[in-house]
This record gives sequence, structure tokens and C-alpha cells, in this order.
Amino acid sequence: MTAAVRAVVRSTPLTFLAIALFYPLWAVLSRTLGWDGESPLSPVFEVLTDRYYIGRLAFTVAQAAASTVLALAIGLPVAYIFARFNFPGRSALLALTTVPFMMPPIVMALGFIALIGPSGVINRLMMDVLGLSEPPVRLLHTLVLILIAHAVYEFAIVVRLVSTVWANLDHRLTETGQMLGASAWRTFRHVTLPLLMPAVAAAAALVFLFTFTSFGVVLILGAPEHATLEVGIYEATTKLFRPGIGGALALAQIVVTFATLLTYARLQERVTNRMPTRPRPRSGVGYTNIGGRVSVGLAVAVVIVVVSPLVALMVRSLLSLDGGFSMAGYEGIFSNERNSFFFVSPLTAMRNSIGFGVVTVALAVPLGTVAAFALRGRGSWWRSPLDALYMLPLGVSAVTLGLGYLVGFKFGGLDLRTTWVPIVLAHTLVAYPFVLRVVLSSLRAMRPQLGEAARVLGAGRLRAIFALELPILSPALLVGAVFAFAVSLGEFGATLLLNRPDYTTMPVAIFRYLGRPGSQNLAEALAMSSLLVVIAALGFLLIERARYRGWGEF
Amino acid sequence: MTAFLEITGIAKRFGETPALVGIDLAVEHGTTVALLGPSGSGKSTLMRVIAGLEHPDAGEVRLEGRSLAGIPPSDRAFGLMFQDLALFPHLNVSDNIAFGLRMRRWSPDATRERVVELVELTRISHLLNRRTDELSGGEQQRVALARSLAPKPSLLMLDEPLGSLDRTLRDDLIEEIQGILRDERVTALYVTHDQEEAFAIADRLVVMNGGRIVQEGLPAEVYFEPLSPFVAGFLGHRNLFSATVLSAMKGEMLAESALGRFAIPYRGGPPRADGTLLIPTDAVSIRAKPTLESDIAGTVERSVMRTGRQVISVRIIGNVILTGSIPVWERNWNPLIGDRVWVAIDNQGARLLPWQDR
Repeated sequence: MTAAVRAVVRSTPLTFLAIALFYPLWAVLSRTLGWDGESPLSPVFEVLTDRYYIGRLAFTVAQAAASTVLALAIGLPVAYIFARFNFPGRSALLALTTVPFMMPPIVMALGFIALIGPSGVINRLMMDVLGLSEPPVRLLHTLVLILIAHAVYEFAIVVRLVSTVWANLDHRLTETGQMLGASAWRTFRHVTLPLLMPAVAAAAALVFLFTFTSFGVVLILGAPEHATLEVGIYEATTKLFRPGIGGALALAQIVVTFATLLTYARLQERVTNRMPTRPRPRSGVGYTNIGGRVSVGLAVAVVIVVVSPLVALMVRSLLSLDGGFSMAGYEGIFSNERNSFFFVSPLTAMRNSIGFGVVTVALAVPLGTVAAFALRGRGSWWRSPLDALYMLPLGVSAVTLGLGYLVGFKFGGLDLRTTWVPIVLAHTLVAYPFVLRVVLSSLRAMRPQLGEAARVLGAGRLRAIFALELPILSPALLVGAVFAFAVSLGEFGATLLLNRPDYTTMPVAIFRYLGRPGSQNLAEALAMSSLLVVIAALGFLLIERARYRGWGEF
Repeated sequence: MTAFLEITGIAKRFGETPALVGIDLAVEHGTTVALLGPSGSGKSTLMRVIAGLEHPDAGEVRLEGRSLAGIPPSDRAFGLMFQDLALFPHLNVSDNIAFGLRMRRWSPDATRERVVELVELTRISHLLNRRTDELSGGEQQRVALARSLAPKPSLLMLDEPLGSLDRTLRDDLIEEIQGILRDERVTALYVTHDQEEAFAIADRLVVMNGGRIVQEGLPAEVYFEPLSPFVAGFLGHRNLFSATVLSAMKGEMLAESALGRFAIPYRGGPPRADGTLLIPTDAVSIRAKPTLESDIAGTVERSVMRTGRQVISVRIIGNVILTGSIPVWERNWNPLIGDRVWVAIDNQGARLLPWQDR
């Protein structure tokens, strides 16, 4: 490979970021912050001094912190149980935990409504059993429900990230602690916990990041007083016509998310550096004693609770309004009979979703892989900032990004705003960081002697990549591809803003059905949401079947 | 009188595989016992049972007459050094060594004193504040040894502690460990698969195979009188021949084997009628020319240089292979494969073992 080709390949992630992230951000910020001829700094100043916006920022941070604590509280015990015990169905259960994480907020919101809404499964059961005339559970539009929904969403991150590190902890370390006189608790406190801390903190940083930028959950399940920064950006730009304020809020959001990502990248590097160099996966112990059975039962129960909104949604999709069995929703979405002028047929929405998903995979997998290769070494000062930069798309407001594409993607006579290009760019942008994490974790686990052996055996650098590294990475690439596909399938915010009828995707179609009256529309929304759940669940079961073990970095 | 550490009838299986089958063992106070055996022989499991890290399915471990059943590893006050050392990666050298002292709530002053004492003993005073992943293999070994000795364990267990080091370093460290164990007057169990290490460190040698103790005794006793083909083979004996005793008188018996008739010294009562003839390789010398009438002619089959000696296998009459050696410093003569040589056996080194080979 010539130096020039290498340089071009190496620079693709940054070039991509420049086109798909920084240019639209610049486009939207330069237009909004200088709006109406006012000084670009005056909205920033206004946001920083106005008690309302300060309050929004404080609320956003506080709810993200509370959601993080809640996700850790339910995630850590389950992570421990997954790390410690081997039980039948363990990997299927692990696959299930990831499904909610990949669902568009609209589907999760529907699930929560189907579960605990006024006529949801729980309220109906309780009313029947207890003979009540009013639904007893009233959580809709409360802060509690937002926190619960966030915890359910981010549960998978905590479990995946922490349980892998926990399972790979060399058990001789804890045994040595015991031999040196430390009780079980003191061994945990002085040996296990310090070694686990970077992984826990990295998981916490990611959860904080995702809940800090939360949009759909807050918008649909919350009340006006629960508006986060992201909701504020959406309202300021689309309802209040104060794009300057929207821009300033977006800027504030980016500052916080970049700081969070920088912390995350540093911690993640410590996870890999601190781990005993020889990973020694403990196969897990049996669960036959009472403590084991109780623990495994507990984990199963928590996972059931976590997926229960989605289960409720699927059950509800098979019921008619009066409670009888009905396939009307499914029949509706598979018959192509809608002829509305600006409304797209469900089959088209499915075709679009799958098409965007395939193109996203084709772009995100090579992009994430090249980015991972750039980050694989260790020790240089620039790696953490570069890592955080590569991950930044996860922390940028989808609303801001969508607006950026809308204002920026017209170049003279070439108007890309009405094409599928910005949609695919947006999907790829949020999908490739997942590929990056999965591939990087595999790369860091790969023994350097392998590459040296290949070179001694006569493989050039490029040959080594194709003959050695890519085949070894293939499980990681498969997992990355499934993630990228799932992310594309679930992406909602940017697609909604960029939407043209021709390019409607499944989440957007669900949103549209819900906006229209009539039970058939609700039935079709539920049916289509259930299909999304099933596709995601199958994808993650496939991952577990592939016996991929390198989950360490998520 | 009961021994310091007494093990009776210990059995342990992992699923269907038996790891230990009825182990009985006594360890006297202040001695070093080496557990020697191939990997998978159960020696590490036995050590983990004594440490309390595994619960035996049957049997009992007693320390000074008291049963240890139900006492967790943390309360047994034993030391354990793992093959891959298990140094705490989040602690530096001095905090690693002090860990056990802090867990046993030593005062800060006493802790500091003991840490200094140990780094001097193990000669790593200059490494006190270093991270453990910056150390060389030998340095890590010393830290692990210092850490396990720090809380003054009543019994120190070492599981292949020199497993990953190069031979020179091992030879140096084994002598050092021996000295340190003696200075600290600690009772020690030393688990290894390397017979040289075991012979170098052990006061008593215990050979294990297939979850059983197959032989136990003083190192020289075990070496010269292996009780089974397995022990003989594992200790590196090559010259073993079935033999029948033809006659015996005045401390000497005449044995017939594939080597022909052969006079062997014996002590004690009347010898057995048959058994296995053992000739240590050290008792077999290879020569370019016959010097005695009893020398046996043959051709060189294999020739391998070992530390200090050239080990040569010779095919003699009847397709029998005899292995002996010549000192490497005898540079004037270097037999090649296929060369004709003469073999002389020093019958003072030969033994008749009370079992039939093959």
C-alpha cells in the first residue's frame, strides 16, 4: 500500500465527520447564532443568563444523573449474575436485554402506554382483579416514568459492559485477596471494585450521554415541565421561531457531551490497560445451589421487567379494541391499499427501512473499522481526544443535525436536501460509532505476536490485514453490522426532520399512524412496532449464536 | 504425635472427573514438601483444598490437630503464591506487599516495618513505589513472594512459582527461595511439575498422578527407588529392564535381564525372585574403546547435549537401548549417530525395584 493510499484511507473517518457532522453543524450554527443581525454571542449570553434556560440545563443534567444511577442500580446486580453464573438460556437472555436499547423512542413509548397506560395491561388486570373503577397506576407524563424508561433503555449498556469485564477478572486476584486475610466483602471492596471501576464509570458515562440528549422519550412520555435541552432545541426552532436560542442550546449540549465522551474514552482505555493481559474467561459456575438459583431467578425477573413494555406492545398488537384476537394491524400493513396523496404505504416504509439499513451497514462497517484501526495503539496523548471526536455523533442532537442538513445541503444548483443522501449520512453517522467500539475491542484483544508472525511468514502490511486481521475480526464485523442495521432501523429524530413521503421509514410511519385517528391506524402502528421488535430480537440472537465474546467496550 | 498439617481421605471431583482420590498426607512443622506431578495430576487442586478455596467432597484437613472444615480461606492464615502471581494491577509494589497486613489490621508502623523487612529480604527495596506491570518477570516473582510471606503465614503454598521464568533465573531464585523459607522458618508446600526444582527445594517429595499420591519420601529415596514405572519415567529414568534373580549371596545378587547376567548389590533381607532392574544414566558410561571385558558393544542411536553432559542412547545386542552420558568437557571425543561405541555399567548404582515393568 502506498503512503498516499494509506493517508487517504486513514483520513476517511475525519473527512466523513467533516461532511456529515461539522459542516451541517456549522451551517445551522452560523445561520442561527447570527439570526436577525444580532451579535452571534447574544443568544449564547441570553441562554447563559436566563433563569428558564439555566433551569432546563440543570434539569437535563439532573434527570440524566438520576437515570444513570437508576440504570446502574438495576444493571450492576444483573451484570454480576451474568458474569458469575452459567445457566441455560443465558445468551438468549443477554440478546433480549439489547432489544430495548435499539428501539426508536416512539416504539418504547407505545410499549409503555400498552403496559401501564390507562387501558394498558397492568391497569386492566388490576381493575379486573381488584374491582376498581379507575386505573390505579398513573405514571404517564411523570418524571418517574421518564427515569424508568431511560433505565430500561440503557440497562443493556451497563449489563454488557460490566459483565464482560467482571467475567474476565482473573479469579486468582480475588482468591489471593482471600488468602491474604480479606473477607468476602473486603475482597470485593479492595480488589474487585477497584478493578471494575473503570468499566462501571465508562458505562455510567455512556448512559449519561444518551440520557442527556434524550428526546423522544421525554417528548412523548413526559410533560412540558420535563423538557430537556434537546426538547428545548426542538421547541425553540420549530415552535418559538428563536433559532438563535436553539443554536445556543445545541452548543451548550455539545460542550457537555464532548466532555462526557472524553471522560468515557479515557476510562475505556484504562479498562483495557488495567485488565490482566491474559484474558482468562471463567466459564461461569453452576447455579445449582440455592443462592445461585435465587440469583439467576432475579436476573431473569429483571430482564422480563425490562422487556415487558415491548412484550405488552406485541400482545396488544394481536388484540382488537374490545380485547379479542385480531390480525387486522398485520393484514393492514401487508396489503398495499392506501392511496392517500401524501401518505406512504406501509410496505414502502418497510422497504425504505431495509434499504437505508443495508446502505448504512455498507458505509458504517468500513468507516468504523478504519476509525478503530486508527485508535488501536496506546499511549499517545491524542488518542482519547480522537476517540471522543469519533464518538461525538452519539452525543449531538439529532434535531440540530437534521436542521443542519436542511439548511446546508444545497450547493448551488445541486439540491441534496430532497434526496436520500442526508438520511443515509445521518444514519451512518450514528451507526458507525457502534462498529468502532466493537471492532476496537477486538483489535485491542488481538495479540500483537499474530501480526508479527504473519509478517515473518511473508505477508506484507496490506496482505496481513486481509489474510489475518479481517478474518479474525469477522465476528466483530458481523456484530458491528447488526448494530449498524439496528441503529439505522431505529433512527427517528433526524429522519423525521428530513422526511419526504418517498423516504418514510418504519419509525416515522409509526409516528404518522399515531397522528391519525382511527383504530386501524393504531393497530397498524402496533403491528409495525412489533415487527421492529422481532427484527431487532432476531438480529441480537444471531449475534449470540455467533458466540462473539468481545463485548468489553460495547 | 500428630503432624503439623494432616490430610486424611481427601476426595474431590469436578462434575464427572475425579480430581483427587483419597489423599492422605502429613507435613511436619518447618519442612518444605514438594508436590511433584504432571499437569492434571491433582497437585494444584490439593493445594486449593488445603487453602480452603475448594471444598473437598470427602476427607479432612487438620492443622495442629484442629480441623479446618468450615474455616474460610481468609481466616486460615495461610499464604499462597500463584503460578501467574496475581499481583494486584491497581496497587503498587509496596501496597501489594502491605495488602495482607492491612487486611489483618496491622498498625501502620508495624506494616511499614514489615514491608521494609521483606523488600530487603527479597532484594527489591528499589522497587517499592513502582507499578507492578513495569517489573520484569523475576521482579514480579519477588514481589509475589514478599506479599505472601508478609503476614507471617503458618503455611506457605507455592503453585509453580517459577513456571514462566528462564532457567538461569529459576536456578538463582530457587536457591534464594530456599534461603528465605529457612530464614522465615515457614512450613511450605511447593507445587511443581519440574523434578529439578522439586529436588532442589524439597525436604520431602510427594509424587502425584491421576489424583493420587503415588510415592512419598526423601528426595534421594524417591529418585533411586521409584515404586512404579510412572514415577521412574517421570523422574527421567531411561534404563529399566525386567529381571529375574538367579542367585544371591554376601550382599550381592545375580540378575538376568535383557542386558544379560548382572551382579547387583543389595541390603537387608533376602531379595525378591524378580523385579525391574534400574540403572541410572549416571551409572552408564560411553567409551570409544572397550576397557573391560564386561563392556557392551553398540551403535549410537541418539545424542543430545544437556547441561554439563552429552546424553547418548546406544543400541546394543537384541535391540536393547541403553542411555548413558559423557561429560561435555571431554571434547576430544564426540560420538556421532551410527558410530560404534562401548558401554560400561557401574553396577554399584544399579537397583532391583520390586515391580515388573510392562
